[in-house]
Amino acid sequence: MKKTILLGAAALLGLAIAPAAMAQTVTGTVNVTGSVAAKCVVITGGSGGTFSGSIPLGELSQADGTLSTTLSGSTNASPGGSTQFRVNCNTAAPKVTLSSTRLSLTPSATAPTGYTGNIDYTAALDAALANSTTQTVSYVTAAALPAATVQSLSSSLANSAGNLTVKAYALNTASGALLMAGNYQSTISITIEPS
Amino acid sequence: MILHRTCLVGLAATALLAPLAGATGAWAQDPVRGTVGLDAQVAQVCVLGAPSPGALALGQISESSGARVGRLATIANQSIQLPGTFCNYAGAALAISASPLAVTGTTTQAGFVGSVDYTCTISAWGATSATVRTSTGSTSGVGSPSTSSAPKETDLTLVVSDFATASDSQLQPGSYLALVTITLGPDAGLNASGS
Amino acid sequence: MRSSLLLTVAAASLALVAASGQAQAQSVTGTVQVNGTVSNRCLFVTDNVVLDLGELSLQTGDVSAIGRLDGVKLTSRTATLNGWCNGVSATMAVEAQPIFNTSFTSTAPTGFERRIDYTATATASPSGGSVSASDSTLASGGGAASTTGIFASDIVVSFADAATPAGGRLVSGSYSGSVAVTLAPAT
Repeated sequence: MKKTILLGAAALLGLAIAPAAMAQTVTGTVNVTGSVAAKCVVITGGSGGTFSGSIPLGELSQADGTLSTTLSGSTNASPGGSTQFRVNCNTAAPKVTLSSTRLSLTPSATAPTGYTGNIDYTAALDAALANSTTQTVSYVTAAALPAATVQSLSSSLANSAGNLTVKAYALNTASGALLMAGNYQSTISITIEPS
Repeated sequence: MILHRTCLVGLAATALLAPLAGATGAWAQDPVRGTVGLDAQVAQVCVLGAPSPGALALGQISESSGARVGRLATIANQSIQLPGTFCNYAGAALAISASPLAVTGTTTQAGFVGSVDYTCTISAWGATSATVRTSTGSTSGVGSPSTSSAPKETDLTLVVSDFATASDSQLQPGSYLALVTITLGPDAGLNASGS
Repeated sequence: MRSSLLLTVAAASLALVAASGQAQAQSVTGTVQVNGTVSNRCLFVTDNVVLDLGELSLQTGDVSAIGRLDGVKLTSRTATLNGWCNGVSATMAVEAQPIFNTSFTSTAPTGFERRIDYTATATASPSGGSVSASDSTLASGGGAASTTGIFASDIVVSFADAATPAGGRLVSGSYSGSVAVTLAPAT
């Protein structure tokens, strides 16, 4: 028994000395980690974190002085007007916040009986998604403007040109109202957060 | 690279602003016209001036003495004015009908005459005079009318002249009466007998 | 040595982890201006009215008056058009034409007339109060325009000062005249 122990010790000793006597491989691991910040970036229509555009609707009234039936009958599929942007978001479910003001006579004026200077409409953001579908986020204006629409996209934004289309359609006024002459303006506000 | 992007944003912003500036002057359509039509008529009318004097009182028409006592005396021409006579249309005809100056309320004895003829003339109406001469046995004779080729307003003078009996016999004693009717109106309606 | 190596690697991992913790999420915001225009425009909803004035001459009363103009036949009447203008610069103007005998077109003989003059007034009712424009048939051309601004209402045409040139009797026949009311969207 005594002899065995000594052998062990000798083995240990052997090991300790081994590096000096013969070459042996050592292995080590290095964890490389990195991260990608969740972000949305404007590619077309702006740069960095902002984009802007316009939808010119042209003449709003028809011969009888009321809102054009082409505009009042417009739909998402055939809007009164639209404009496109490209925003790249690297998250799975970007969150869209959408609101708008009414399309109003600017500068404003008191409307006589039978007339109006305000037109309500639907402002929509059509997002082309990575899953080959399109998700529409919409906001309908009214005399008392509702809270902004907040909606998460069901998929990542498509990695393609013009993946965001802003549309204006379904314009409407009180039945038979005559439109006051002048320039009408509305501002659609959009925020796209990574999540 | 960052500088390049900034440049593009700047250009895009300018392009977007330009159409907005042009749109501040909403243009004007053409004037429009509404019409009120006025339709009316003026009826044809003639007015004979009130005769002045209204009647002729010839008095004693037979000689009261001399060789021709009882026979027709010389009766001077008589005039009656009809001032302010007018017709408001062209082609109005003036006609005179007259009955002989005949004894009333009694029969005429044999050898006597009971009727005196005379001539009525109005010269101021048309190019030619209106005239009629009575004839015994005819209660009314319509002579030659006179037509005015234009609307006319004038003072008419009825001249009663040329009193004569059919034969120079003595006149039946009594009251004598004659009726002169002046008619002014459309040419077609002057064939009726006078009153 | 082995122990030392491990320690070094561990330190490096820690360093990298620390760096990723400092990265932040970026959002984008955008605005889209929707604009349009409404042209200045006027329109007549009722653009034509015909007034039958009937018999224009006096037919009863004093003999000296019979056959002369009965002005009340015109001045007692009104015609109602209807229209609108959608701009603050809109104006209204009137041009009246004399009433003429259309059956008798020669010069009227002495003592007779074939023409009736009058003044026509059109009145619209914008919300700020009624606005009128007039024209006399005696004045050549139309009357001055009045600013109506934005309105949508009846436009009532009334008549006054009916007269013949010399007060003579009216020649018999059919008579016709007209009044034009013009709405202009902008001067």
